[in-house]
Amino acid sequence: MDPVLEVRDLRVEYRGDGRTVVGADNVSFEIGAGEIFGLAGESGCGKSTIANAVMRLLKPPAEITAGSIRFQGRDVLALDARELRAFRWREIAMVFQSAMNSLNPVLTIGEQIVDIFTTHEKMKKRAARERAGELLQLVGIDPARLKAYPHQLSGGMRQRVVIAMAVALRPRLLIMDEPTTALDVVVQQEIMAQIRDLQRELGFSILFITHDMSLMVELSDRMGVMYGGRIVELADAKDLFAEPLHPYSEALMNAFPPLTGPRQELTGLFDAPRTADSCGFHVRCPEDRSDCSTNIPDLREVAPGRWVARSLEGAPR
Amino acid sequence: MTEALLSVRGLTKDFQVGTVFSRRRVRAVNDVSFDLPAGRITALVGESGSGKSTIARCLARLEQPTAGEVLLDGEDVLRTERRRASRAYRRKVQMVFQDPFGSLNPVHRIEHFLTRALVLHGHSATPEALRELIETVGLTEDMLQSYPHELSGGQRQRVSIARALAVEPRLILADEPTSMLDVSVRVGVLNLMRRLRDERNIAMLYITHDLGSARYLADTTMVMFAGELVEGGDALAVMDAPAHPYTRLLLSAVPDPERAGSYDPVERARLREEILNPTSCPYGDDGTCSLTEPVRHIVGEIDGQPHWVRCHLRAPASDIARRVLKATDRPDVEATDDTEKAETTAA
Amino acid sequence: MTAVDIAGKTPAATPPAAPTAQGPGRRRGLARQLLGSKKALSGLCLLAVFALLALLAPALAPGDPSLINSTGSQAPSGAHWLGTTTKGQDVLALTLWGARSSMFVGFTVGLAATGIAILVGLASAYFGRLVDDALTLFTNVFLLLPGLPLLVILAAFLPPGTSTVVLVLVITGWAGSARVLRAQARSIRGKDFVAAAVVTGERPLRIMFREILPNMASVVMTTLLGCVVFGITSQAALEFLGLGDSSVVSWGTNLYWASNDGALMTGTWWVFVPSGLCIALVAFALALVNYAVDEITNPRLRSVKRRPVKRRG
Repeated sequence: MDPVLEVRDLRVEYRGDGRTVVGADNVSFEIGAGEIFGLAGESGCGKSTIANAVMRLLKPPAEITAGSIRFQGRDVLALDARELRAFRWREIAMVFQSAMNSLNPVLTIGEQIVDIFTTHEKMKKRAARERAGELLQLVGIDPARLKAYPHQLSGGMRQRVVIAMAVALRPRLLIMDEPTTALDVVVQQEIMAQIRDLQRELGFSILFITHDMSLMVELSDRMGVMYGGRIVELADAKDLFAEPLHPYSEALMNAFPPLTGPRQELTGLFDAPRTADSCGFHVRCPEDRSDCSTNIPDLREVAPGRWVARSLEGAPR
Repeated sequence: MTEALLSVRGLTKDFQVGTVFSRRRVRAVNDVSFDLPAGRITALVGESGSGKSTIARCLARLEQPTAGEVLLDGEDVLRTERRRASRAYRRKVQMVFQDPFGSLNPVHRIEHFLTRALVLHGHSATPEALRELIETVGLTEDMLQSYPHELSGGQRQRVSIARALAVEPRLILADEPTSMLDVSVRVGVLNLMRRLRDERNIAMLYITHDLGSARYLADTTMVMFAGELVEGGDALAVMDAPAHPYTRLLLSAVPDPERAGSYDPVERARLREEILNPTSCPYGDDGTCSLTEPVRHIVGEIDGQPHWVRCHLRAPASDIARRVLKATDRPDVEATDDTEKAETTAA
Repeated sequence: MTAVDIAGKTPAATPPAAPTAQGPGRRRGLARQLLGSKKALSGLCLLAVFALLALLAPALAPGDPSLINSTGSQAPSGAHWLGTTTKGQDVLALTLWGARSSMFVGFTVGLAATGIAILVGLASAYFGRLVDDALTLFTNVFLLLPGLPLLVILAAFLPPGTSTVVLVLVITGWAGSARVLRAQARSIRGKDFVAAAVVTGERPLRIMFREILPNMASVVMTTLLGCVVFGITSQAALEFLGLGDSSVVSWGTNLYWASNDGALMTGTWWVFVPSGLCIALVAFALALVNYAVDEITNPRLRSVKRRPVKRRG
C-alpha cells in the first residue's frame, strides 16, 4: 500500500543577505496509513521547516531546492494553485504552534468552523452548523459553545477547537506542530488523549512535531530525531527510547530528569549555537576533526526499520 | 534545621482586571506562608495561573502585595521599605527571569549588564572581575563584547545568572529559568544553579511547572494550586509519596514513556472531585481538621524537615480553582485564564 | 530561533587564539551602522547640502533678496538661473535665503516637539497610574485643541517674528507625537529587561533614558521626521495665510508671494517650483534616514537579493 506521505531527499534553503542557510538537508521519511510519526528535535533543527514544506507553506527567503514530496503517490510540489487549494485541508491539515492564539477574536467559534464547511464543501449554513456541532462533540465540547468567542474559552478548549477545525474535512494526514506546548501538564494529557481517541476513530495519520521527547515517545509509533537540518536517527519510538544509537538522540533522551529513582547527575549538551565550524557538542573543538559532528552522514539502516546517521566505523562522537 | 533567610507570612495579592465598566478583583495569591532557608534550593511547583510567578514578583518587589509580611533576616521589609526596595534589599535578593530573549536589553552588550550590576552595588567593574563572573557561569571572556541576539538561549540565561551573581546575593529568585530553553540545554543551567548553591551557599527559589526538574534540583518542594500552597517538604518525599490530591493529579499528568497506560479518566475525575468537594481528610485523626482554617497536617519528616499537607477538608477558596479544573472537560462553566491575564497586564 | 540565526552567530567553541571576527554590522553601534547604510548616507548628505546652502546663502547670493525692482517676471536665463518673480527678485537668491529660515524653524520645531514628546511619553510609561493619567489628560487637551484656529489666535496676539512662529508650532505640534511615543514606551516598559534593570537597582531616570529610549530609535526617528516636516510646512501655511512675519524670506513666504502674484495662473512655474521642491527634498532626505533606522533596528525589513533557484534532483 502506498504510504500516505513520502518525503525523499528534501532540501530547504533560506536565502538572504548574500549567504544561504540550509534549513533542512537530505530529509527522507515515510508515514503509513493510520501511523503516528514523530519528528523530534530542538529549536532550529528544521522540523517546522519540514512541516511547512509538506503543506507548501514556505515563503521566501525559504525555498525547496531539492527532493520530492509525494502524498498518496501524487507529487505535492507539482500541484498548481487550484489543486493546492483542494489539497490543503481536505487531504492534509495542520495544527500550528500556539494555534489557539490565532483564532479570530471577533468571530464566534461556531462561525469559524462553519466557515470551513461553507468554503470547502459549499454547504448551506444550517447544514454546516449541524456538522459544526457534531465536530465539537467529537472533541468533547458541548455544542452549545458554538456561540462562544475564543476569549471565553480556556486554553485547553481553544486547542480542542483548533483540532476540531483541522479534522473537519476528514483529512488523511494531520500535521501537528507543538500542539500542547503552551498548555499545562494536566490539560496536555487530556488533549493528547483526545487526539488518540480521534485518531482511533477517524483513522488518519499524524506527523507530530515537538521538542518534548517523553510526550512524543508516549504517542508516536515511529519517530525521527533531527539535528542541524538532518535526520540523525529513525526508528520505532519504543526502540529509540530504550536504546538510542546516535549520540544526539542519546543526549536528548537523557536530558529529562526522571520522576522516580535515585537522583543522578545528568549532563546535557553544551549550548553553543551550531555554526559552520562547530556542532555545539563540545566545549572546545578536539584537535582531531576527522570524525567531526558537523558532517552528519547519511542515514544507514543498521537493523530492519532502524536508521542511524553514523559513519561505518560507528565511532562515538 | 537551617535558619530561614527569608520568611513569608500571609502573603496575598489581588489584581484588578477588566475595563472601567466591569472591574473585578482576581486573587492571584491567597494567604501564602513559607520559609526559605539559607543555602538551600526550594522549588515552587504549580501550573500557569497558580500564582507562583506573582509570588516571585512580590518577593522581588516588582509588585506590591495586598497583604502579608516578608521577613528578611527577621525584619518585615514591606513595612520598613514601603514604597520602593532599598539598595540593600536588592543586594541580598536578585532575580532571573523566564524569557532569555526578553530579559536582556537588545541594545546593550553583555559587558554592560555585568558592569552596571557591579557598579551599582559598590564593586569595581575591572576586567578581572568581569572575566571571573562570566567564567563562573560557564561562558568565555570574548562574549562580553557580544550583543544578546548573538548568543543562544542557554547562554543568555547564563548571562542573566551572572548579572544576578554580580551583586553577591544571598537569595536568587529563579522564575522558570529553563522552561523556554531547549531541552538538552536545560540540564546545564540546572547544574550551574546547583553548583552555585554548593560553592557560594546561595539560597534559591526555583519556580517551575516541570516536576522532573524540581525533583532533580531542589532540596525542598512546595506545591501551589489556585493561589494557595497545598503541600510541602523534602523534594523526594513529596514526589514519591504525594499527600495532596492535586499533587497526585500533577504527577499523573507528567508524560512518562516508561509508565504504560498513564491516562486513566476515572482516577482523574476522582482526584478532581477530591480537590473541589472534599468530604474527608485522611490525616485528621488528631481532630485538628478544619473547614475554615488553613491547617497543615504533618505526614512525615526527613532530616528535620517536615512533609506537610494542607487539610483536605479545606477546598480552595478562589474560584479560579473551580474553573481551572472543570474547564478542561465540563464545558458548562465559562473559563478564562484570569490570573495569567492579570499577571501579564499588571507587569 | 530559526535556522537563519544559527549560521550567523560567531562560534564560542573556536580556540581562543585570535579574537573573534567582527560580523558585518552586528557589533557596531547604531551611529556607525547608520553611516554604513546607503540610504542613511544619501539622506544625511542631502540634509547636509541644504544646511550648507542655508549657511552660505549670504555668500552665494549677497544682498537683500527681497528688494523689489522693476525687472518684472523673467524666465530662467543666464543672469538669473531660476528666473525672477514679478517683483524682479532673483528666485535662486530667494530660495537660498529661504533655506535659512525654513531649515532653522523646521529643525528647531522638530527637535523641540520631539524632545517634549519623549519626556512626556517616557514619564507616562515609566511611572504609570497617577502620573500617566495626568500627563495623558494634559496631552489630550493639547491634542483636541483645533490646530489652525489656535495658530491663528496665538499668532495674532503674540508679537510677530520667527521665535513666535517656533513657539506656536511647538505648542501645537508635540501632543500627537507624545501619544505615539507613550504607546511605544509602554510596550517596552512591560518587557522583562526593564524589570531586570529595576531588580538590579537602576534608578528611574537611567532606566527611562538608557534602557527604554534606545529601544525606541525607530519611532523617535519617525516622530522627528514628522515634526520637522510639520514645522516647515506649518510655517509656510502660517505665512501663506499672511499670519507670520511676511518680511522674512522663507520657502513658505516664497510660496505665499508666488500665489499672491498669480504665478499659477500666469504659468510662471519657476517662481514656486524651487521652494516647493526644496520642502519635498528635505522631507525625502529625512524619510531615507528613517528607513535606514527602521532597517537597522528591525532586520526583517532588510531587502533580500533574489537569485535564480537551482533545482536538483
